[in-house]
Amino acid sequence: MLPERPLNAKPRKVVLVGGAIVSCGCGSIALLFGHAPPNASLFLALACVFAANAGIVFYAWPTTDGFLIQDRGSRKRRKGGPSGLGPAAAAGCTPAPPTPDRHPALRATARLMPKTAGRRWLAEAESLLFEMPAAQRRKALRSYLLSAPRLLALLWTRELSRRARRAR
Amino acid sequence: MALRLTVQVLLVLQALLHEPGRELYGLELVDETGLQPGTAYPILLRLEDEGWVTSRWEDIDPRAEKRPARRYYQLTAGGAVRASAAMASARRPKGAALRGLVPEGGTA
Repeated sequence: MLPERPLNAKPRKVVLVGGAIVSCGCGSIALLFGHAPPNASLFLALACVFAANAGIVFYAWPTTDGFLIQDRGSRKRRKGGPSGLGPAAAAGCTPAPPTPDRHPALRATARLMPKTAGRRWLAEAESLLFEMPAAQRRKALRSYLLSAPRLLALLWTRELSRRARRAR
Repeated sequence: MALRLTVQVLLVLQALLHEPGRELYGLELVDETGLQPGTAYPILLRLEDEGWVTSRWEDIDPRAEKRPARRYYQLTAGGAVRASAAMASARRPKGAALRGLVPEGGTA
């Protein structure tokens, strides 16, 4: 089964994240070059704006499913249509390799893990999410991200003990 | 580090023990156990570390199958024995507790 994609999600997320970046930038400029000397209330107001924006970006990031942040290759591969297959495959001419959804949050998490373990975790997670019904995918993605801190601890403990054993 | 036999671990073992010779991949395990994939993955990893389970990548051509390869998990021979023992020992106290709940002479 090919994954369904929310096609109208990209502009909304671009606006959300873009707005967050612009307002943070404006806040920083106002603070650094403003005529009024910075005081505690200004700092507090800016901290609130930054925190709200960080929340927005944090919320938007894992739900982008590769729409907002994608490498050049995957952007090219998506040209065929919403299926994630190439243009020829989308037209029904030749089969193209299936492209699992790009999950930036999963990829970022995998980078924090030991190299081989991270690659394996990511490949397995993307494979499972690819085959999962669309309705359950978001919940599964969240569960992967929520379990990541414990998994990171487990994997790094394993990796470090392996390295220590090898060094002896 | 010894494996802690939590309810989640027992659910994974139960799913794998259902047909010991059969290999299960992530989605099947998630469906059979009712666990979230984020919960099941570290359990499988620990079971593999302890030698209860082996895993392998599916040998397919993703182009032809139109899907990425799956990772299959299977109980090892020793793992199956230990898993059966673990399941039996986990059932025992639960059974005793349930017997205490059923009224004498009555049906559950």
